[in-house]
Amino acid sequence: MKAKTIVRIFVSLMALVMVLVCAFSFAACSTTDWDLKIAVVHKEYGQKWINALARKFEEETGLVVEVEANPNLQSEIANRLQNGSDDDIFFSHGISWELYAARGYLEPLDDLYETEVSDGVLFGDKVLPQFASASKFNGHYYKVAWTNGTGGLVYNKKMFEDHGWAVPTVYSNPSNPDCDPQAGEVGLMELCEKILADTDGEVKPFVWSSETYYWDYVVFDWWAQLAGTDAIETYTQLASLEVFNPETHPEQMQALQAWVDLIAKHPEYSVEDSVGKSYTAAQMEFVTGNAAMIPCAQWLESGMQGNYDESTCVMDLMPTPFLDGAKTDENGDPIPVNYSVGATNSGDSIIIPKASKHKDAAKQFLAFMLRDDNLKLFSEETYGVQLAADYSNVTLDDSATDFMKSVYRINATSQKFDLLSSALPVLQGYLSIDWPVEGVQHYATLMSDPNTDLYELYEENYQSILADWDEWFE
Amino acid sequence: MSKLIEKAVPVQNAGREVSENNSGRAPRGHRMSRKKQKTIFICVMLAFPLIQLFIFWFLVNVNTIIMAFQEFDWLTGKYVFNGFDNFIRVFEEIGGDSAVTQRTVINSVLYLPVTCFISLPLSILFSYFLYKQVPGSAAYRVIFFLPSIIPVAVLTMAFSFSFDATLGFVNPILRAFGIKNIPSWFGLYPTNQIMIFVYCIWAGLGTNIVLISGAISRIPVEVMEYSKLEGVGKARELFQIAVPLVWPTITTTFILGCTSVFTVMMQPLMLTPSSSDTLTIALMIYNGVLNGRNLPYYSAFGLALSVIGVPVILVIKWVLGKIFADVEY
Amino acid sequence: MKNSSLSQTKSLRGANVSKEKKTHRKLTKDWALWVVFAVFLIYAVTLVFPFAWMLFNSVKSNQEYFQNIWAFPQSFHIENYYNVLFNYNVHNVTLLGMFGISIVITLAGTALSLLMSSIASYVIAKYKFFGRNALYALAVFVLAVPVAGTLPAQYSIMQSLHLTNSFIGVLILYASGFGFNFLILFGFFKNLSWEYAEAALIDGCTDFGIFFRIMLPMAKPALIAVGVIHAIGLWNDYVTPSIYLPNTPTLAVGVNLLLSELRGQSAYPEMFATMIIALIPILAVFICFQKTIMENTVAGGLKG
Repeated sequence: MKAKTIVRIFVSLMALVMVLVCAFSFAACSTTDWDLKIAVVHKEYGQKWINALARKFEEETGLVVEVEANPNLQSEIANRLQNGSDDDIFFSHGISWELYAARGYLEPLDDLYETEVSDGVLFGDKVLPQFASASKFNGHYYKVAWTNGTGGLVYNKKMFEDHGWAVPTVYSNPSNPDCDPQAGEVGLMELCEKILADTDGEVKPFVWSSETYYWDYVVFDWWAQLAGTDAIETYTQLASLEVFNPETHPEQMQALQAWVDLIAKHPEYSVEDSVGKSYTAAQMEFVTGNAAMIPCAQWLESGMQGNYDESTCVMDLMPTPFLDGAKTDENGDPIPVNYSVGATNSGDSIIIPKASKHKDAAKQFLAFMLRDDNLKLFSEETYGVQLAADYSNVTLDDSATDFMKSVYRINATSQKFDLLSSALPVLQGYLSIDWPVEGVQHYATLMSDPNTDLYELYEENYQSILADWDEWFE
Repeated sequence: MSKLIEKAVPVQNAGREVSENNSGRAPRGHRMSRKKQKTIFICVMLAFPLIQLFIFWFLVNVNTIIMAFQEFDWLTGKYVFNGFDNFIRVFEEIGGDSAVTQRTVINSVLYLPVTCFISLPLSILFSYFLYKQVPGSAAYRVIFFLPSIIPVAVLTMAFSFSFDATLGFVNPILRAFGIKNIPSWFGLYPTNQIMIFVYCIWAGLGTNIVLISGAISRIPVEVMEYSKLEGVGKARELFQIAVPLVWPTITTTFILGCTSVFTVMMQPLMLTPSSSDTLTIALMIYNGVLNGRNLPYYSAFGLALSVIGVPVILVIKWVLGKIFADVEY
Repeated sequence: MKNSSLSQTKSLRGANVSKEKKTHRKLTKDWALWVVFAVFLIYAVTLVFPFAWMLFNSVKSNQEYFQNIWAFPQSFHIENYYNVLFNYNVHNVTLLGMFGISIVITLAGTALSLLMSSIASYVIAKYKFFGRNALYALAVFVLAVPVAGTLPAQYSIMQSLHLTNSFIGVLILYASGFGFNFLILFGFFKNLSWEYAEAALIDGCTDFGIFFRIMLPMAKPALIAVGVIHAIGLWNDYVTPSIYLPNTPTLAVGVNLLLSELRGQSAYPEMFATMIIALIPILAVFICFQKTIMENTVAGGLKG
């Protein structure tokens, strides 16, 4: 009796499923009648920009564009490239494009870089030179860099104005303890003291989270200030073993030490237990006015729109204050630098699969995208993010926020640098190019032991790289 | 006590398997056809599961297994055979070449005692008292199952917010009790690793409770009632009747707990993203695959550890099987 | 034998203790239950808490949420629910459509998987044959081995079998006989009495008959417990349907797309609203099955 019931239930279930399967398979028989399919990773930049660009492209060319915005795209790309798919362009973070290029999955883009974007301007000229050189593998272009991110210290402009705090320009200036911009450079270190004093410790200078690595944006800037962007370039190419020698190349270690001196040795400068905070909690503390600054990047303002009250918080991004010893130009002024957010290891990339059926349309779209009006469109639809292209002919409308304007200004006035590397040990996963010293990159570790001897760690790391170096390049 | 079980459970330890040599069971003339029948039955029944396993597990993984013995040649763009190089690197790293890998393996191994010796006994206790009809048992069962269905993202978010130093409510409560040196719950090692374990126990009890109380509820009412008449105490009833009677389920849950060494991933990923202090084996492999650059190494990493781990798990299973004889009821 | 003598000495020792403590226990019996009750209550409160937290944050405005995540909502923004239910769709499938797709896949997938794993576990637990122990070891191996990057290989096999973009393909992937379910059901069948089978064999019943008519119905409580857990797993599965059913999003896939969009806007309240909508059906189903499990408890025991 019971057995019969179970069998009956099972049979009727299967029958139902069969019917539904048939129904759905008819419904799912959609035809692929488009001229270009673009798959975009759906993360912090949203999908408004790609929809806007795609519609505009359709209007201009009459081609039909299909857009797929997929939050999980990054993990599916390998599969789609290897087994073939109907995708014509991929936009994503963390594409191991060198690997795919080596395996022959990618369309070489040398001809694209020779294409004219607008009157007399070639695609290759429009792409920022540092990104163009980092898009080559075995002498050919295989990718286009996607964004040119801007990070650093975001501060609460409203709070700074209310208290009459000046935006710091240098790391420390003990001769100006009152942080009076008239009396000389304003130091970040002194400002921290002033913030605590002015608010009786109610407002902390910083809030942050070790969930994210956003302090990198400040520390990398310091590193490049000290070493110069050319030296960073030599470093990422692993020009010699010596780039890891803390004796001759101490700049990364010094930048990290500056962080330790400011943050780890002054826990009172940060909201209690910042190191243990989730990133969302850190954001909350910032927009509710419990902290004056937060290390972050261009997406903070757009990402938080509608979540906070403008009477408590107005955001702005400050150029990273200069460390003592920063490289100077011919006038003796320190050279502003800015790390291209996200540009380490594989970075943000745009690729065209070899198996694409619409390669010409795909290339046409990418050339179209780098036209000045479309550079601006991208920026507007992402609230200030810039493509990795020359924005010198693009100006923002007056309606843009101070934050967006700061992003533009910093990008325009700084030497941008990145940590993209196609050196073999990096590709093979033996070496992490951004923080070669294993374990140090974790600000949490240094927070728990601010008196760590960094030199010892870097020296140890140098010795271990020394031991493996020849093996890596054999 | 054993008498007691024998009374209620007449068949013990006998005929629990159809075996070739139990000739006492069927008349002799029947034997050959019985054997044939059985063979047909076994073949027919196992055909689909085995074919499915072969195609979708073996064929799919054979690439991974082969890959563990290869390396990518960047000049030719092909994977080439490199013998045991990847495995050598795996063991060198675990042996001390890489502090991160070493810590990852240690963290993962610690999930075994946490799930098997803390979480499992707790869920046995909980299941037993649910069975004993503690007031509100029906409601508790639903509630205890909540963590299994609430998305991990939400559970972890609520959990970590509760422990936030300024926004959470745990620290103020602790302070009210006069505790001064409150640690950074999720910031620093090893506290953050311990908190992940606490989370796993807190959120993981539910599933075990469903499984174990399912098993306890199958214990014949007579056995439990008899023990009540005999005046057996709760502790003895639990350890000398309930536990032995549901031992196979406990063994199974224990084994599943052992496999967590290789499978735990979401909890550290959600609670301490980007921390390399709290990585697990599965999470390390997940990150490696996402990056895609060194698949051979991660294949070897996973394979090497399971080749060591699976026999250990099987030995544990064998030992557990020896503790109580199987009891049928 | 060894075991029974062991437990006998244990029980003797226990009996002495129990005589001494008999009166004491009567006094303690009640308060012990109440201690357990209190522990359960505290644990239950901590579990209900995140759920309640999500519920009341789902009706806040974004600003309210960022102001104080613990405060009770000042006004109820039910429109959060309306928005996620009606203002979003994925491939022209609304949340309701996704429910339909998920129900079909979950029911069929669970039924198939339960059938396959009960067959595999039953045969391996109850029949002695060559390779039986190896199969058990294999099942543990399958569960424990963390595999790196198998997706492309799986996809290419599915492609060559013409099983991509098809419900049948997904169901075949789900119809695994070896896995979590296998181990649990193996433990169950292992200590299920063979008496009935014996009797049925004498009555001329075939092995198939024994399995389908006697063993499977007897396994109902275990099947339900495992089935509920498995169904929840399938209901929440993201990877398989997102790859093999790209144009017909299940609830998990659609909700994930939706959530990432909302997270990009830091729209946490709407995120929670989406999660609650996705959660309520499972909760309802679980509460219903709760009753079934209880009924099985009453009917448990030798009567099967």
